[in-house]
Amino acid sequence: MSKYGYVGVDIPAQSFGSNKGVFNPAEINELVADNKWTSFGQLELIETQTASNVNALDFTSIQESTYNVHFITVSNFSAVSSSTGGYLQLLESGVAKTTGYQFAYQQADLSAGTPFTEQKSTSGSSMVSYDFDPVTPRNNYAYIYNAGDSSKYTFVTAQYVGINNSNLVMRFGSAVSPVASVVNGIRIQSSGANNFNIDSVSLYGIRYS
Amino acid sequence: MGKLVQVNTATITSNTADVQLDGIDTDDVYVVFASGVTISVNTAYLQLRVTKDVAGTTTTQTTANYDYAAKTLKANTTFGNFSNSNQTRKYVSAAQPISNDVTGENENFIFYLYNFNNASEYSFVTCEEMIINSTNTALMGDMGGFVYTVAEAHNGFSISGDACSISSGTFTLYKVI
Repeated sequence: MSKYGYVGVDIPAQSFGSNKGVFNPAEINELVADNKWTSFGQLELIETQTASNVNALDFTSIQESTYNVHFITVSNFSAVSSSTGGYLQLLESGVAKTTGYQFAYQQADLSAGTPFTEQKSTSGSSMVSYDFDPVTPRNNYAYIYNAGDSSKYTFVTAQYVGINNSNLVMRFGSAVSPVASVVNGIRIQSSGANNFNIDSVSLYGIRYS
Repeated sequence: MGKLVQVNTATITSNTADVQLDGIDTDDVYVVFASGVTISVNTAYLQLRVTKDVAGTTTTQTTANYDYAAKTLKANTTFGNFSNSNQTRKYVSAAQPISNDVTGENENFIFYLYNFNNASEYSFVTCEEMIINSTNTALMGDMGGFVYTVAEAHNGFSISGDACSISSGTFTLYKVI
């Protein structure tokens, strides 16, 4: 019986970036499952979590040494019972960084007297901030750059859309942690004692080369 | 199933005047990710253009056919508007000088490319840009887009320095399928 088109004892070991042989679909699927099949640019799911009545949610195994860019999606992020705010923060050596961020977001909130406002700071407490009412959701994506590079700042571009006081709200923009450091985790944190739910939050890596 | 298919990539480790990512040859949407970008001269600029296959050579197009509009988001002050027409490039981040003299400073971008392969349409680009501004060491970046107003096919995307070279960064072009 052949393996990768080879018969005998010298069947080559397979690894990402080094696939040798002739592959049938079952072998390709097996290598994909083991992350040994070479395919550039795919979104590689790292982890999916849900949140039910929690005050914080962490991703602590983000494979920062593998990916230059991470992508995170958050579906139906809402307060449990009382209005609260929330943040997306970075973990350095497992500890949440809570100060020293810079961010700049354009907001449109159709419930507000002035719908279009600027959200900005050079001394912020998060990369992305949310404020929301019970049940009403926020849906969000963010790209995170250079998390694993100790010589570079970590940047985020993000956008969210949701409902605030029965009206549409959205933000888009970017943020930076202006310290050259390794980021080895991501935290979604409530701003106070009130908890939140999230239907689904998924973290991906974008494989470059 | 939808995914990103890598078309071209360039990892820059020494001064490069113009990073060209070519290989666009289908009618799909394409996307460029650029991360960890640094420039050789502090307070210089980066500029964006399209490339075209001219007699087999990928050539950056520098004619005055770039129209752009963007909201410039700034962490330290009022946001700005950045727009113009018939220019020879779209400058990154409202043509503000980029800071690259502090360890850790770098630039990061996402560009979605539309209609590049279509010889009957203009080529459009959406921009998500992040730099550190050298004037005030604050985060800023354009969110918007530009168009090259010549109905012809373009085979790629160019990021180049103005009064500088690109000294490092990872630049990757993907086809979105």
